[in-house]
This record gives sequence, C-alpha cells and structure tokens, in this order.
Amino acid sequence: MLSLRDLQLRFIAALYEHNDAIVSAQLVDGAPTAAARLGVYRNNLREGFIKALALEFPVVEKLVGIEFFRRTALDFQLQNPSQSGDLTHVGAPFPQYLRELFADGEYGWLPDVAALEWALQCVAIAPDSEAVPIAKLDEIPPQRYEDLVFDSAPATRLVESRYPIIKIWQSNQPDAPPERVELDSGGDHVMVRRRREELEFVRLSAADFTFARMLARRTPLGLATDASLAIDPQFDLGRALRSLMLAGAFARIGLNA
Amino acid sequence: MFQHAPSVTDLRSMPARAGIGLRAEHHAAVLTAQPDVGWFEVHSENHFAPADAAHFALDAIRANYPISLHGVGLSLGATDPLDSAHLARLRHAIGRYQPLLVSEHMCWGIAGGRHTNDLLPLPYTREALRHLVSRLGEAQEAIGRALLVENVSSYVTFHDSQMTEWDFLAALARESGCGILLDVNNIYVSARNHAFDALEYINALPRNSVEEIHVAGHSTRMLEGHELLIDTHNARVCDDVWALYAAAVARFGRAPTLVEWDTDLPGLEVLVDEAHRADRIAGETNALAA
Repeated sequence: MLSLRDLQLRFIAALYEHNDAIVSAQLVDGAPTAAARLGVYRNNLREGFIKALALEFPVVEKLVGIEFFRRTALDFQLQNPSQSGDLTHVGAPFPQYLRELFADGEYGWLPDVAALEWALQCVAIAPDSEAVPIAKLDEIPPQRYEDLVFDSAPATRLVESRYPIIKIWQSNQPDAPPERVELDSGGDHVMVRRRREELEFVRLSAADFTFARMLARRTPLGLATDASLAIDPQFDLGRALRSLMLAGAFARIGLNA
Repeated sequence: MFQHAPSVTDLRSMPARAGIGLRAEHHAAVLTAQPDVGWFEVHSENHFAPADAAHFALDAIRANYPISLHGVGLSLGATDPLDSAHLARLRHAIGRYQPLLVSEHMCWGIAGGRHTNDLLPLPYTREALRHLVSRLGEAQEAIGRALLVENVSSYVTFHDSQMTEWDFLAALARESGCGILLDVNNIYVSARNHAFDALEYINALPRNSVEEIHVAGHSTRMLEGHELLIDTHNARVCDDVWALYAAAVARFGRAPTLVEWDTDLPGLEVLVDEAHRADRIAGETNALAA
C-alpha cells in the first residue's frame, strides 16, 4: 500500500502529465473504466484553469480568439501550475509568459495588454488605503526633501507600453463598437487605481511615469527627481508630486533612515 | 404610527431553514428583492479580497441575512503543508463577515506544489483518517473557529481504502468532534458512480453529527457507453435527491439547508423556489416524525 503522500503525488502527476499509468494500479476499475473516470478530473483541471485565466484576461482572450487562448492557457498551465487554493493568483506570471512567447514580433503589444489586465486584477482585490494629504509635506523640513521615500497605495499599479494599450483595452470591451486602433499612434504610461468600487486608468507623461515608478520602488525623492529631469529637462517636481499625491498614489511618506 | 409591527431578523443564530448559495451574478437582485430565504452561503475564497465589489455587496447583504463561509481551497486532506497565507485570509474573512458557520471539504487538491483547485477524493485508510483529524485541528487552531466538514462527490475509488466513505466520515466526526456538512447530492452522485446504497450512508452517520445540509443539481455524462454522474451544480435538485434529503431530515432533524447552483445560473427566483421546496419537504418530514 502506498503512503497517502505517494498516492497523492502520483495522482497529481497522472493528471498534469497526461499519464494514467502513474496511478492506474491504485484505482478501482469499473464501467466506465478507471481511465475514463480519471479523465473527468483531468478535464476539470484543464477547463477550470482556462476559465480562471479567461476571467482574468478577457481582452487577451478576445484578441487572440477562444481556441488560441485555450491552447496558450494549457501550455502556460504546464509551466505555471496553480499553487494555491485560491485561483485569483494564477494569472500573475501570464504577462511575462506572453512576453517570452511573442518577444518583439507582430504581437509585441499583446503582453502589454495582458499586463494592463493583470494590473486591473491586482488593484481590484488590493486593500483600501487613505491617500497621504499634501499638507503632510509641510511637516518635513525642506532641506530633508531629497531623502523622502514613498509607499505606494496598495490599490495602484503602474503599466507602460509603446502601444496604445488603453485604447486597445477600451475598444475590446464587450459593449464597445468595433474600432480600428493604430498600433503606432503612441504609447501609454498608466497608473491603474481603484477608489472604492471604481477602477480607473490615470494617464501620466513619460517623465511623471518614471518619477512615479522610481518612488514606487522606494527611491528617495532626490534621486527620482534627477532621473525624471534626465528624461525631460522641463520636469516640474512640485507639479508632478502634487498631482501624484492628489491621485492617491501613496499610502505613506517618510524620511529615508 | 407604523401600520405593521416590525419584522424580526435574528442574525445571532443560523435558522433551521433553507438558504441559497450566493454568487456575484445575483448580488444586485438579492439587494433589490430581499428574498424570503433563511440565509446565504458564499465561497470563502471569493471573499478573500479585502475590498473588491463582492466585498461591498456582501457587506450590504449580511446586514439582513445570516451568512456562512464555505471553503473550497484549503485542501484539508493534502500532505503538502497547510497554506498559512490561505488560513490567514480565511481568518481575516471570518473576522470581517462574522459568519455563523464556516465549512470545508473532506478532500484534498494539492501535492508537490501543484494544485488542481478541485475536490479530490481521499483513500479511506486509517492513515488518511489520522492525517485529516490532525490537519482539521491545525486549521481550526489557525482560524480560531470550528469547521464543518462536507463529503464530496467522487468519480474514482482507491484499492487502498480500508473502510467505506460513510464509516470514514463517521469516524472523522467522532475522533475530531467536527460537525458534518452533509451534501445529499454528493452522496447520491457517488452512490450511483460507485454502486452503493445512499441510505446506508445516511444511516451510518451519528444522529447528532449533521449541522448543515447541501442540496444541488448534477448532470449525467456518458463515458464508454456507461453513465457517470457529475457534480455540476447546474440544474434543479432531482426527485431522488429530494427523497434523500427527506431521509436525512428524518434522521438528523431540521438543519440549515443550502441550495447550491454554480453553472448556468438561473434567475434568483428559481433558487428561491428551490429553497422553499426544501423548507416544505423538511416541514412535512418533521411533522411525520413528530
């Protein structure tokens, strides 16, 4: 008799690796056969995963078509099996998987659309937080501003693309009229955020986006400002910081120790 | 002056009447219609997110109805370590929604880090029983609440099993002290798939062990020219399962009963109708037993 552990490892391997022989000696045969019965679980495993991924990436599914999406989802599942009893997290590696699959080819924009959809998923289920009021800056001595560090609000994500991903996303919503999107009509720098029940795309300039991303990675304000000035010599620190704070980008600010 | 005396909603205890499995598609209809059902059950994992739309809807609904959290992803019977992050999220959801009942399944779903997100059957061995009793204790400790444990539908059985599923479930209740969430549709599906007597299953369980009952619809798949019943939660409860429900009420008394429907969701009124049917059957059965 196998240990419970060995039996379970074999059962999972038989399902994932499409190999009934790994576990067939353990299963009671009958009519239908054990192989057909095992097939019910394998079908659940595949269909459940495809359905979960499609719920997280409906625009990608619409863009590539149901059949291609199904094949891609199953290939993705082999390399990225669900590791949690909560399927909400299953799509996290999918944008990167698509990036490797499509590299810089004709569908180079698809991974960016996936990244936008994943950002929406993340902010939809992230905790609420209070935005830091601008008055908080008054408590900091101006000579220490360059040492300020910021904690991003949990319900925000930053996504950039050289393609118009917001337009692609919008024109592929279920109720959107068909529309031709010019892929070379300019890229997007987006902060995706949720406020209460409302999801929102906030467009940023390239310099503001770089600034926001560096702050999100806890780069001190002085260094983040230098990097943004390198992109845009006209970069206005006061305006950029104020607009990000008003947009609720930060949950906390403090001085770098 | 008010024309009517105020109605009474008791949110302190689960009523011994039928409720409905609450799915996101029905949130708005429930808030508008305020249907006459005893309570609502939600999948715990659908409410792990701290602040999504499902959260806001459930907060509004639970102001008027008792709530139960029903987990599908804890994998109590697995031999991978219990997922401490999952337990922490469940504990948080319990604190947030104040459910009157919290339940999980007598099954497993993960091994070696690969999850199926399915309710896989255990081999009914003494080792599996010891393991499940110990894991149940560990999980209950982590969430600070008692868990009801539900029997699952199954499509395979194992040569290694040393006892029947009903003896295993009865032993689990006896040795762990857990209450049973008896799914009579799952008993019916498994009984048909493995050719055992569903009434023998019900009659083997201790009379005071069942604290909640589930009913649901299933479907029939033809495989190799033979029928296999699949637990799809996509239809009304069939007459055979209602008969088993009556047998369960006769043995265990009236218990909070849940109508589950997950696929091809009908309008809310169909679920309300099924819940009322459960209440009628339970009422008639109880009257006969009295």
